[in-house]
Amino acid sequence: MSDHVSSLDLDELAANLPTRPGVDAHLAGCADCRARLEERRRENEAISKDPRLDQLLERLDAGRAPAPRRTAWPWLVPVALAAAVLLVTPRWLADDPSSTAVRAKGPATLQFVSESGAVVAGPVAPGVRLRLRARGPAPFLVVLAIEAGRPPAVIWPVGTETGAPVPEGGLLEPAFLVTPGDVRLVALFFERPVRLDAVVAGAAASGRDGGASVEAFPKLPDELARAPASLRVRGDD
Amino acid sequence: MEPGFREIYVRCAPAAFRRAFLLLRDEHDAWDVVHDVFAKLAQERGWARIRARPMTYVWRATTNRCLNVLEARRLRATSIVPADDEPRAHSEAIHARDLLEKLAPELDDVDRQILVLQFVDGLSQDEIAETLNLWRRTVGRRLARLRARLIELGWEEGGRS
Repeated sequence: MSDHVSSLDLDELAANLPTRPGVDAHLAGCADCRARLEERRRENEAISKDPRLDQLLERLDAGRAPAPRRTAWPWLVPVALAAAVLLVTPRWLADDPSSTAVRAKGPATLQFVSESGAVVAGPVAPGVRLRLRARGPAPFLVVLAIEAGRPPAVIWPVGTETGAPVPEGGLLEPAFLVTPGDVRLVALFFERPVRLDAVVAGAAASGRDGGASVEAFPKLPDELARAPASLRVRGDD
Repeated sequence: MEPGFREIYVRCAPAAFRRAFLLLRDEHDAWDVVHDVFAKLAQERGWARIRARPMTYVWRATTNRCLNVLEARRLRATSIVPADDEPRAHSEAIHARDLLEKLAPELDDVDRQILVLQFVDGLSQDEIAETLNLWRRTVGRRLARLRARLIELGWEEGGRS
């Protein structure tokens, strides 16, 4: 490994957690890093003696309650039970978000597109790899999955806390694999990067039918436009 | 509470507090951040997914939460200062703070986190990718774009300008 161990390495070492390969070897030969580790351990020990650490754990114990997962697909696990209700369930394959904001003229659209860029109207076979393409009159985008009886789930962007800029060309990364399941999507366009948890909370609170009807889904704060999309899997009739 | 979560809390919460205090320089806010990070982890029952390297999740969540706090305070840049024992040169981190102040309004959350992890913490691209759960290529591309933008603003490698 190059240079000294990083602060992240030190935190893992001080917490007796597994670290990256090579860290232990570097540490064995580097007195500076060993000294930094000892200092980090002393700091952790001091923080651990702070009563607020235990008080906070007690609060977490008292307040813990199961909550819906925001970004994951909740129906991935019970997918076998959904054989009677087959549409599509995207499974994200890669993580390569773009960040070049695009404000398109015309109405908002959300499309499923193939690897070659062709618009897919469906039905499609399970296993097909698709992408989403979004265009809208506002630069920031959130794509929600809407399923009756379940809270909305953010499927794009990934790895952030807020809506992300619409990428150049509108193609959203990563791609996903079509699998059996039931899903409908709605692209929400905003003028600013709204918080994803606020979007989910707003959608869940206003979707009295559990989001069964995208068209009936009331407008969210700061929302400028929206575009629904759905796709069916071949053989689901 | 599941022992998995409790163990992660006991091992990682001190580091979360230390990191939050490093970024926020406010003890009360730092404890609030620690609470938020682990409350979310507990509520989402996400601890099982991060067992392999829980510290990377804690770093990511803590950094993101701190940046949100800083944004809310409108003190994002001026509150980010390096700890004395950080591996980055003090002047370079201070310079990064100034640049973050200039760049923050035009960055998304991922870029802001990458900027902090690279220029405040001095993590490698591999570590940033692992911490933020991104592809290394994605981190590299974003860093290249950030560096290009930083150079436009007068930054030079090594903290000189």
